[in-house]
Amino acid sequence: MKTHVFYAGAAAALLLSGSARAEDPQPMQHPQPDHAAAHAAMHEAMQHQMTAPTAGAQMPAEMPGMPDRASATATRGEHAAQAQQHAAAARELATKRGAQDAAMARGGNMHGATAGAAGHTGSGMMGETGTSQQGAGMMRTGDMHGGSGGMMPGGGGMMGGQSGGAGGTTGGSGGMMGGTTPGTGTPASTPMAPSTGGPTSGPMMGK
Amino acid sequence: MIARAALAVAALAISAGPAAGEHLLAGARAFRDDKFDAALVEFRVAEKLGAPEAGAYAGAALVKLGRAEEAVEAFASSAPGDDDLLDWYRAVACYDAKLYGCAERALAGLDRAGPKVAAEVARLRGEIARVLSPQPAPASVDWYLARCEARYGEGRAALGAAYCREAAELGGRRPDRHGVARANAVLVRFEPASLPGSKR
Repeated sequence: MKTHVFYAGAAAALLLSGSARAEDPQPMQHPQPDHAAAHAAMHEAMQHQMTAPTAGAQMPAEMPGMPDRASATATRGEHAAQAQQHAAAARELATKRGAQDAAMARGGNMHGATAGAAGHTGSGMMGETGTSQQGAGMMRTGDMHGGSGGMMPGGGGMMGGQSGGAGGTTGGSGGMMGGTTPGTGTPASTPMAPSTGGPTSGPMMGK
Repeated sequence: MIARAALAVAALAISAGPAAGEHLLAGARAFRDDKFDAALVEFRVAEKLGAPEAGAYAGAALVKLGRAEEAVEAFASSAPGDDDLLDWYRAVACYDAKLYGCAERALAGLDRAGPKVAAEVARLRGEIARVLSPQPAPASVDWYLARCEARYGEGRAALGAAYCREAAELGGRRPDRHGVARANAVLVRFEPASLPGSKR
């Protein structure tokens, strides 16, 4: 009899523990209770953060190794950098030559001043007074928008400004050739700045 | 012998006890408060103290920090399928590392997730399907192979293996099976038990 009561008690205890486990809301059993708390906290945190955007997951998928938009952009960037380097080199050269020309003009061995005085275009490029020093100085400001005509004092500058200047940085170098040679530059593939190139309408037109 | 093993297990359990739990909890709080750097430190400490789940939590923090490759490595310590939320972060880690096959496998198990998760899962799966639908170019397979070999070279075997598996899967979808043999050769050399069909 005692044995039967014992068995019945044990069975009841087993049943109770079984039902308690079945109702357990925890999805995972953790050996340490504080780990369970941490797990619950982390789950709540991860759920909370799911709504916050994760930078990478917002990006469209793309197959690597393919010529894609990003690499095209990089190529464009490289071209732009190259063009910038060329422009800087041309600017440096222009400044150097402008300074030489200015020195020449000071020495009186030039015809630019007269051309600058006589030609309207000269005054446009070289500034109001059209002196060779100003022409050189203008080049030192660095921009190439048709202004490379300023290489040569006076007439040389005019020609470059009118013709070669239309091409942007490359075309502008035509102006360096002097007053007798119109600028032969071709339009630059990556325009550094819109260049109107007209005799009086360029952004460099002096006041 | 058995007694010694039992003692070792007990010691491990004690070492991963309250201290590790505290770090996990601190990490969880930091994670919730957007302090992912701090969370990562806490999870790394908890991992060192023997908390088994800390590696995957560190992976989630790394995902939020935008360190996808490290996250993939962190998740490599646990198998997918145990926890939907962690699988979501695992999938994002793979996706961000351009391991689209890996991401797709992790996302495939999240079909029964809640509506919020389900929408995000559908979006990512759509992105992956779009990028995986055309036949992979040899250049793409080569990209994965190069990554695989580079990561192995850096001693990052789990990451290297992930890239090689991706290369083998992509190459296997081409008639010429471009790169498959090379990827398998690397996998077998470094992980003899690991073959392209493995889960991770």
